[in-house]
Amino acid sequence: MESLDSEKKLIENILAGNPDEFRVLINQYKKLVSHILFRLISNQNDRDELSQEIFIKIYENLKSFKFQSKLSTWIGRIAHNTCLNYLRKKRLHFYDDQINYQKDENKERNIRADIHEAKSPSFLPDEVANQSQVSSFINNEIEVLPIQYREVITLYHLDNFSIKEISEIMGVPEGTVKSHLYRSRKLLKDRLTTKYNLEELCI
Amino acid sequence: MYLDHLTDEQFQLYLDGLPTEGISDIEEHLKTCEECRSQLSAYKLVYKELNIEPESALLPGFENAIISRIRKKAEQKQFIRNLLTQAAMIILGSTLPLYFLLTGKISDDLNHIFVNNWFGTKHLWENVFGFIRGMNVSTELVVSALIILVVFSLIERILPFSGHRKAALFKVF
Ligand SMILES: [Zn+2]
Repeated sequence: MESLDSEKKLIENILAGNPDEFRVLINQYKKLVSHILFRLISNQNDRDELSQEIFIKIYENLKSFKFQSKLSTWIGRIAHNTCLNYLRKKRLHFYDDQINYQKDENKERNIRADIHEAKSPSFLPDEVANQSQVSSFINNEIEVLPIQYREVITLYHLDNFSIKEISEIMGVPEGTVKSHLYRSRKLLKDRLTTKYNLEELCI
Repeated sequence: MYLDHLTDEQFQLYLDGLPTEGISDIEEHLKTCEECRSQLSAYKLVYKELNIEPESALLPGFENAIISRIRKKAEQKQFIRNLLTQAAMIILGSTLPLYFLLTGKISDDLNHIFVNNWFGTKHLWENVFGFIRGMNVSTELVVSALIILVVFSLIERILPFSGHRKAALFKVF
């Protein structure tokens, strides 16, 4: 993490009017923006367009950033809002989410039933687990998680934000972030143990 | 079974590595319970995938497009700013003399210049200075400053000085 002083200096340099100084900021925060785009936006053209929009918004609003939060949280919030506005405009967001959400409730119930069955001796694993299969299975399951779940696990696991910081970025209460985090990881674990035999996974 | 199996909360707390009160209980239970050990390995596989850095969603060199867009916007802004200052100067430059001409006896004196002689010109200058002297000190300062400002910016606009020549010129003063 960058220290507060060097961040202040960087912002001063950018505001002094040299666009090339902005390159430094882009390089420091492109991973964060990329993670959010990666999990929220599936189309590559949209990602390109939004990445530009996000950084130009950051540049234009830099004057109003007064260190009321960490710079990374502030940038995360701009990226989050830009993506959500975009999805709303495309009318994908609410629609998809609602459906995904309900699916998840059902899936969760089904998974529980499956697990119950799995304990009976008649159960046979449908596939022999191998590392790359397990890995791609989990990643596919991540992709079908509800959008808020995907965002929370990304900000938590890839960008090491705290629950409080994620709640600031996403504009939801900390309790919501906690429950999204808990439920998404439990769902992924449940799907994995339903798909593969537990003993195999131990190897 | 002398202890309950671990809950999902406990597995997650344990793997998140956050300080938990019951951490030794969790470890104790894991030693003795194969079922929970398998659950833990499943969780570990999930965590492993969640922590893997994905391929970048950004094209290589995407920042060049951003920088050039910022540059273009700044240039447009500068262009408009220049346009506005020029307009302001033209307005100032034309209204100030008009203001002087139409106030007091200066317009009368102008007639003298065209119609008459050297005396007329002398009168005009006396009236201009008389006009300024007639104002209070602060207005006088403001008006003089405005005149100087307009003259200087006009000189700067009209003469095609390059940057370093302009700097050399100002060094002389
Ligand atoms: Zn157990």
